[in-house]
Amino acid sequence: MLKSIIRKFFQKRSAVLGLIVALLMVFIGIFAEQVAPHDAYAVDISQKLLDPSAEYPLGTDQLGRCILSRLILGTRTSLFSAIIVTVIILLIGVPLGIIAGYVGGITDNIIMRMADVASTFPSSLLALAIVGIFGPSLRNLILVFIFLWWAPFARMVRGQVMKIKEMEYVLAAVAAGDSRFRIIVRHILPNTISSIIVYATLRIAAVIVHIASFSFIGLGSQPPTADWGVMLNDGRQFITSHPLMLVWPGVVIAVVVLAFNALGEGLNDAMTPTSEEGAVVKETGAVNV
Amino acid sequence: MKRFKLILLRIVQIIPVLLIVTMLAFWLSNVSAGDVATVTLQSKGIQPTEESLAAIREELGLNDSLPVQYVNWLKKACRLDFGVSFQTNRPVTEEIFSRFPATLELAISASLLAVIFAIPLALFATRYRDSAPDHVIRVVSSIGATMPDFWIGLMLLYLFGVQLKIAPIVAGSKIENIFLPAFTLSIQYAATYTRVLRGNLVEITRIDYIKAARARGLSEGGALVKHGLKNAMLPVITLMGVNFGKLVGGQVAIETIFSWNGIGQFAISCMKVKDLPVIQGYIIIVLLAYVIVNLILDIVYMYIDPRIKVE
Repeated sequence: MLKSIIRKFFQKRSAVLGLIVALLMVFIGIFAEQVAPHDAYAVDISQKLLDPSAEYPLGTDQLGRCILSRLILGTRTSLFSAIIVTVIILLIGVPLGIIAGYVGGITDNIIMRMADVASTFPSSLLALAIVGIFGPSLRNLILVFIFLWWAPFARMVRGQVMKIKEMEYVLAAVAAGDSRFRIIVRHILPNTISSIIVYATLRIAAVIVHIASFSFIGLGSQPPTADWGVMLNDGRQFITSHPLMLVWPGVVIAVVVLAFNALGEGLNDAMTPTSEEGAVVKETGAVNV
Repeated sequence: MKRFKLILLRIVQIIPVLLIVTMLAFWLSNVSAGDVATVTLQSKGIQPTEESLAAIREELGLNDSLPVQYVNWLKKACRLDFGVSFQTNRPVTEEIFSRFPATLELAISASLLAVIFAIPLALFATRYRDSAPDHVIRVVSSIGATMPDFWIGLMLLYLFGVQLKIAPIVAGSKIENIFLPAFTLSIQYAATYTRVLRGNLVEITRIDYIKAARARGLSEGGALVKHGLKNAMLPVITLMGVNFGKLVGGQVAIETIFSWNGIGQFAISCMKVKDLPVIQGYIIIVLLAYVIVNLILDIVYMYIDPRIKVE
């Protein structure tokens, strides 16, 4: 089973490429300080707005900071926030989805109504309110995303669980007198795991785009944090004189997002039986801020 | 009767959202109650002293308990009275509504552009499905759906504004400059609609009446346009409605990039100077607009799609 999934996954070029880029990004994020050629926060006005050179491969920004180093440090900010958000919404969404789907009845109703509420919020409004109250910061933005995005996870898992619990092997386990907990851990969870992995991978891509765009408009990371959205905002006033400042962060965001999407789609194709391509509802990074 | 029930259910679902958001918006004014009194005085040009502060607290009702203040605030909010902007000293509602048409123009143009791009692309992809044009359209649309729109906007602004000099760098909400921001916004929607529409069209080609139309001698393209498109559009129309609801709230990033004087840009600029009454007003008005658009959609949809049943 696992072998065939891996084989199928590695047959698809875009998926493998996505995996390589994603792993590379995680590596760069972990060892950001070691990889970066300069200190991403070292201000040196005498070196401001330099063109790319051997010393500064991508040039410097308006405060003389090395753009490449800031992009590298930004990988940590962006990727790690995205992973934190995704892990937490998994920890909230998956158990709630399993409970809702397995127990059903009034419990299901309560959880699903909560999910309805969470999905009705326009994200920019909630972000504006939270940031207005608690001040702009990446942490507050992360809280907003968690509040909103556990819901689609829970809904997806619930749907899966409801399908699986009618399967014969689960009914057999029930008939054999297995406890609910045992059935969930032994039979339900292993069969939802592939959808969860796919969904989480695609979600990471979406969170990265959202963090960048909220930071760009000033509701996320704050300067001088090395964040791709902040860098794009910094570069905005230099659009006529130093357009490259706007190109680099965008290219990095695009590459990372495409990589995680390719990875997610590759996993999806590899893990779902053929003919049922795209079984997991895909939520792309469509953002409106 | 069933329809009525469903509408009622939708309204009930919205209540918790309204409650949470109004409370958050109200909380905004209480973030620093001392500040509100001081700021209000200063905006009126009065020196804040112990006495004047006490007087203004009394006048603004800042001495009441929080629930009482909330209810009072809510009563005013229901009349769309959010006070005056600290910055401009004009009523918040006036400030927001004067910028609303700009946002609406952008929302409508972006929605229309998205469909204008999506329909031919989807038809083309369906006609040549599983061959090169289909694959190209699939790759392009999946890239289009995932790219951050604000970055595409920046790049287009650079290309057309700085390099080719055929678009102004500051659009200034003039209708003749709407294409670039609207196009930027439309890309991700066009991409999504293309994928959905293609999926539906491919499904429909398997259905008998298309086969019958083909048998009557209609070309495949003709059969698709004449019979397939109408039926395949329904899910796209739903998506359009939902997205329109989001667009009406103002597009902060795109409006900022293209200096489009809509409500999104206004809200964020007020955020930066802590003009709290405007933020409150913006949050409530946009939420109401969003809720109303979605409610109307639900109702309209119930009448055009008889398959929707009460759960």
